[in-house]
Amino acid sequence: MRFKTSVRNINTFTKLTASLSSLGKVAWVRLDDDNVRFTIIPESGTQVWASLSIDSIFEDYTIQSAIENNTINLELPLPPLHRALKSAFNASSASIRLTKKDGVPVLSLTIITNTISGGNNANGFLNSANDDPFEETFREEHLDAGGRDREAVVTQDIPVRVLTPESVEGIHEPRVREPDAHVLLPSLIQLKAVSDRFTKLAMATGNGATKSGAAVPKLELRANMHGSLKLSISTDALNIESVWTGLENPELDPGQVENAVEEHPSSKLRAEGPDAWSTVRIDGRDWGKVLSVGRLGGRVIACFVNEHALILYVYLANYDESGEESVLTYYISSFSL
Amino acid sequence: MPILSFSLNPESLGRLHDALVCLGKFSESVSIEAAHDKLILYALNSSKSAYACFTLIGNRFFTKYQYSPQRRPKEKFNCKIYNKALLSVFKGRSFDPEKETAVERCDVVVEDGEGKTKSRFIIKIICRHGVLKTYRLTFESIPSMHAVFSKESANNKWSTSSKTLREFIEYFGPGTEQLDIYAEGGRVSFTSYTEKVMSGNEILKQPLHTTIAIDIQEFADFSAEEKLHLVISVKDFKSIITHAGLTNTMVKAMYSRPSNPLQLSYSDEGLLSEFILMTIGDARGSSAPKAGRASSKIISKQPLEARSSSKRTASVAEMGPPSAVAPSLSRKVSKPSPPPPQPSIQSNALFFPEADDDRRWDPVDHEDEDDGEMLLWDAGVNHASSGQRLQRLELQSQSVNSNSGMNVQAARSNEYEEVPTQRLEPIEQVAPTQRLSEIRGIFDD
Repeated sequence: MRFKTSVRNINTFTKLTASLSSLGKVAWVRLDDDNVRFTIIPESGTQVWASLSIDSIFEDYTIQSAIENNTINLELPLPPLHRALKSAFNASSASIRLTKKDGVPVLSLTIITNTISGGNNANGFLNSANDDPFEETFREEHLDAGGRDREAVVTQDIPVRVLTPESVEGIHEPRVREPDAHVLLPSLIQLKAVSDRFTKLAMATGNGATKSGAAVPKLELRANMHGSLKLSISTDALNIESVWTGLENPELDPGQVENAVEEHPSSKLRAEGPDAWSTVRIDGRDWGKVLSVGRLGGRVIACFVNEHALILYVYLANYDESGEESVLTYYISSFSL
Repeated sequence: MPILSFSLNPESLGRLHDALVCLGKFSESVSIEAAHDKLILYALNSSKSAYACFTLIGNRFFTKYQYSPQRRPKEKFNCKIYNKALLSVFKGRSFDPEKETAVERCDVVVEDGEGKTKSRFIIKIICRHGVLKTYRLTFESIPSMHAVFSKESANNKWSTSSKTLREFIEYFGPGTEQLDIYAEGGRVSFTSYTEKVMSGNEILKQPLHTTIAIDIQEFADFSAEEKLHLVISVKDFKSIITHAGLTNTMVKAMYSRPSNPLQLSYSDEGLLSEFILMTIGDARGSSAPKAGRASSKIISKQPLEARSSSKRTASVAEMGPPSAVAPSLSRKVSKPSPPPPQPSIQSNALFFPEADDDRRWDPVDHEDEDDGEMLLWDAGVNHASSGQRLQRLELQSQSVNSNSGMNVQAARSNEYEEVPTQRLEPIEQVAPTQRLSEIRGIFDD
């Protein structure tokens, strides 16, 4: 079993782990010849199934295992991975390999980074150190004034568990019926700001029991097939609503739907006119975590399954045109009234 | 007539605050020693494995510095103050002269009276627009006690820029306990790790194991034995480097062998910083044979104490001859070990100079918003590691002359007044004499 790769895009990978780790601490990572998958299934809250083309984050990718398609399944803690990647922020290069240290499997991230050069060190210290008891120990400075590159090799070992194929066999992506409405979401930072504000207001005006977390009012999210999205929250004391209009309802690809496009629930909702809505109720705090995916800057299509679930497809910009698409899929259950 | 008075300009006040913050990471009280030409602030952690000391040079750090010993001219004044009380005086003060509430000057007067005058540490902060804030703190008289470091036997030395080390500590993730400094083949590595062994699912909770390897060429100066694992507490190292990294200076390390102390020192414009950290005996298969280590330990104890007076001149400059050299390692061996260390709290601040402020994407934490105002405080009990215990540092205390330092009024604890010198050595045995509530009361009077 071998896995070794260079990280092509440290920044994207860091943002990806930041977004994922807000939803769960542990990810199931499946690496194979074709793509890289991250799956987060928290005990409660939103599931994420992310499938990335190898080229979008890695290059010089080598994988080898006895399993079909050279698949390696890992259980990977996200906070240490994120922390490790953050330390590669200024790196000139970074690579990852699967290895063993003291009998424990680790993903070893090796970062080559340039430390602060000594060039600007000369001024400012020990100008007149005559009464300095440490005098003799400090006099010996001779930093290079040239400030050449000072290279440091940083190795961050992230503990992992290598999973058997049998243990992950039973994990399946949720199956949801055809959505009633689909809409291209507006700017996520805008949506996040409004959602966070609404949740905060509702908590502040709630009946005091909100701090414990159980009785937080739910955000109501509604979409029609005529380019509108409504976000609202209501408590005993207030009722607020934000409406976006002029959004795009992407056309269905006839090849992707089981029956005729006209038979699709969304076509029916469209026919019912702009006053026909599909509704989901979601937890504001969980939604805030989901929206943190906005930092990756992808296009987001929200699919509404009325009173049942909200599915977000986040399409990331590809490294090159030809490659496979990178998509993050979020499954958010709707709360009943 | 005050025993000690000094004035600080806003810049020095800021630096004094930085030093106190650093000392606060080692102990909850700060010891102060005044001599005619300098003021020394120091702290020893509760497991006695780390000692931090800042020397403020009288005529360079202060705008005015006056020490008037009460009895003999060479006599020093020693006291101990609850660090949180001092920090709360300086905390949040704006040292920026542009601000409306900026501090213009800080005057400190220490009165140690007998009978008439109260013994108080009086801090006056003079702000703009004629605002004057006066704080009167109580203090406790203590014997002087400094950790001993033998420069003669410390044949391993290196020094490097504080900014480089500051950058290094950012790589260390939370949860690790030890830092291993190791040189081999022209490269030096800093490894932050934990000794806790986890199994099963727990393995994923193992903290990041971080190694930073750099070429010896990157050091300004490196003359140390190779293949020597020098292991210290990563938390102590972070506390020190966080302070050192505030200024652009040279951090110098000196040490002899594992299980013996390591000294880190640096200086900046009238402020000398010195730290003595106990290193852990090498459990990773050292180059030193076991027998050799054992014997070196024994050797290290006796000569250190025997030669204390000569060392005093080296490490604790110009202190008078001790009338008693109090604590020894052997006496404390039977004490129960301190509780296992807790993972230190990590700040991600400064980590990540981002153009587009990635943090705005983080989910909003709706629950704990009120905690931001708290002074962060380390209890200072968690310095020894679970697996290997750090030995204590060698200490050197100067007993207090029967009348001088032990001012009855200064000490809040009655019990403390009667304690003979020998019982003073382990600092943690003395009950805290000042509580925050008491100090607030004092502000009012």
